Amino acid sequence: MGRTALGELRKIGAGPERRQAVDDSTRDANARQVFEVLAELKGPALKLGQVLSQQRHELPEAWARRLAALQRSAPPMHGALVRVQIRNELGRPPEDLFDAFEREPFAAASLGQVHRARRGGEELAVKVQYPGIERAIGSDFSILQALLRTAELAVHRPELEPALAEVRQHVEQEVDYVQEADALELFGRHLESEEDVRVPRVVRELSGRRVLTMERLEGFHVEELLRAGVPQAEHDRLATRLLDLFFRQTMVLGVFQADSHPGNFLFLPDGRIGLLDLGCTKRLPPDLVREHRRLFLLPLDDDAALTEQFIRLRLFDPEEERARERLSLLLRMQRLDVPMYQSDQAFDFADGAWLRDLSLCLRDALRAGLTHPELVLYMRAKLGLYSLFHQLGARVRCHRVLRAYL
Amino acid sequence: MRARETSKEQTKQRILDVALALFRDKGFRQATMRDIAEAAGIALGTTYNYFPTKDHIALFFFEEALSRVIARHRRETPPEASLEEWIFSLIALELEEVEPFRGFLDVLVAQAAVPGSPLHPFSLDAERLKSRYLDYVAGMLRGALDRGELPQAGYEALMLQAFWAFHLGILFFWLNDESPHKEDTWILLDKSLRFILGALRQGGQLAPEQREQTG
Repeated sequence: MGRTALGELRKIGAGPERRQAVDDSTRDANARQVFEVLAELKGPALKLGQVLSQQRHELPEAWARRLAALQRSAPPMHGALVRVQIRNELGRPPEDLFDAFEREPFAAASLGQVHRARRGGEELAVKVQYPGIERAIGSDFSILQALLRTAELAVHRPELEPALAEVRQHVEQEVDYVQEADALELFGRHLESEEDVRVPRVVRELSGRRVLTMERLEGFHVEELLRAGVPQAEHDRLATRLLDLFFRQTMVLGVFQADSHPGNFLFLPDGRIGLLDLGCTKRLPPDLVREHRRLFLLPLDDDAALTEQFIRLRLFDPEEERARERLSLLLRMQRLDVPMYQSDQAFDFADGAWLRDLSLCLRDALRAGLTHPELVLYMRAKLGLYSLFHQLGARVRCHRVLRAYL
Repeated sequence: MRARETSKEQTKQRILDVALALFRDKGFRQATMRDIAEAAGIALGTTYNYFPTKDHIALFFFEEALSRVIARHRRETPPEASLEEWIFSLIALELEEVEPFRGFLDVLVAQAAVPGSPLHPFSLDAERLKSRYLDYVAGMLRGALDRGELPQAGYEALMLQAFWAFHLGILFFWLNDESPHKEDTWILLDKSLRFILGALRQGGQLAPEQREQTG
């Protein structure tokens, strides 16, 4: 059981994880019961698994093991079912809509899979969703939420309920590909002037709630980039650019890609960065952005000012249970995260110990009941980005990147 | 083609077109052979020469549909398709082709559920339709058995009857399915095929790993 958060973070996006079995028969029984229900969810269960797996170390091994098994066992859709989905959503089968359509998917997606296609000489990616997920969400999540309340787990891990509620919200957004198409167009418009960033173009007339057709970008994911033996300076440049994009989204656009899974970034051969999977985005209200920006500016030894700011951001309420614990964790996170934004030195993201500390801090804060409709997602997205930087072993002058947005 | 045959074909087609319209507008139960003859401008007796009963007209539509289904299925299903996909695709095509005739599908389905006297002309003809369908499926099953994809257990005939019952079940379900885009039918079809074929591959025994995987 000696796996560190660092090791786990390294594995994000790297494929199916193995788990050590830990005998705990009571928890196993609870887990089994909940997983009977999870097994029916398919898509949402996978999403729950993904989200919770980012906090894997929080879960009893029995849960973690079964979640992993659940993720592996989801059946892909065969060509005939894909055909039905496309015909239902777009009114005609793929052979009528595309010049070419690959029957086998080339990538999995949460809730579905992605196929290569071609139309009018343009290379396309067509994301197709498994049937019935949206209708399953409502009832099944209610059941799952009820189950969690009764399962022994809820007593020891109270943050799982809000995590579940949050996942439910995410899934409701992700299950509607029209929302993703909207997000792609919004980001595309906003980043149009950025020549080194590519947001896939949406083909609206071949898209709907369950099918999303877009321009296909060809490039490397981070693992392949690492294998390609690209110079370190390039890693640094890419990470810097990604951090810049993140602030561009959070500080200027007011909408950010909330799922910062490394697989969502594509490194194109010409050095540009492709943004994929905008199925999960979160809006940041302007006043929140303003208040949060201040966190980067406050001196790190001024506990009083920081505390006041946390209160203003509704991250902390002194009246609540375990408030002191949360405050100390928030302060710790602040002191781990912000220094690189206040010093002109380049920060070395290869520092695994630092990353582990920060992630455990967030984990503990969540365990101590930290909730916030936007900022928790923001923190997770940032942490996901940091873990990607860690994989890249990048050195980034974070202060310089942020400066442009202050 | 000789003139007489062409005009026979034309008459037959006219009867069919008119019948389909009448079945839609008036409903299958309400439409009579007399209505059809009248609308087609043909003597009733002549109409009976082409189709002895109203049920036979319905049957003809389904026979043509089956021919189209088999032709399309042969053309569109890749040779490397899994059994799940092969069967799913067949039933999906069937539902697609039969959609326009939903209003009188119960002619077939009721016949299958409660077969009339085997000597009744309609029963024999309906049996022929069923045989043609099952022959096509049997070809696939035999191939799967030969390849060792399904365990040899000497129950090919039983499997065909089971398949027929399964497919009727899906048809019934689909007829009454009110879910958007009938997604409940597709989910049922997908899940049940994975489960059943998975079980068959294991010789009817589900291994523990498989138990966790299904569903």
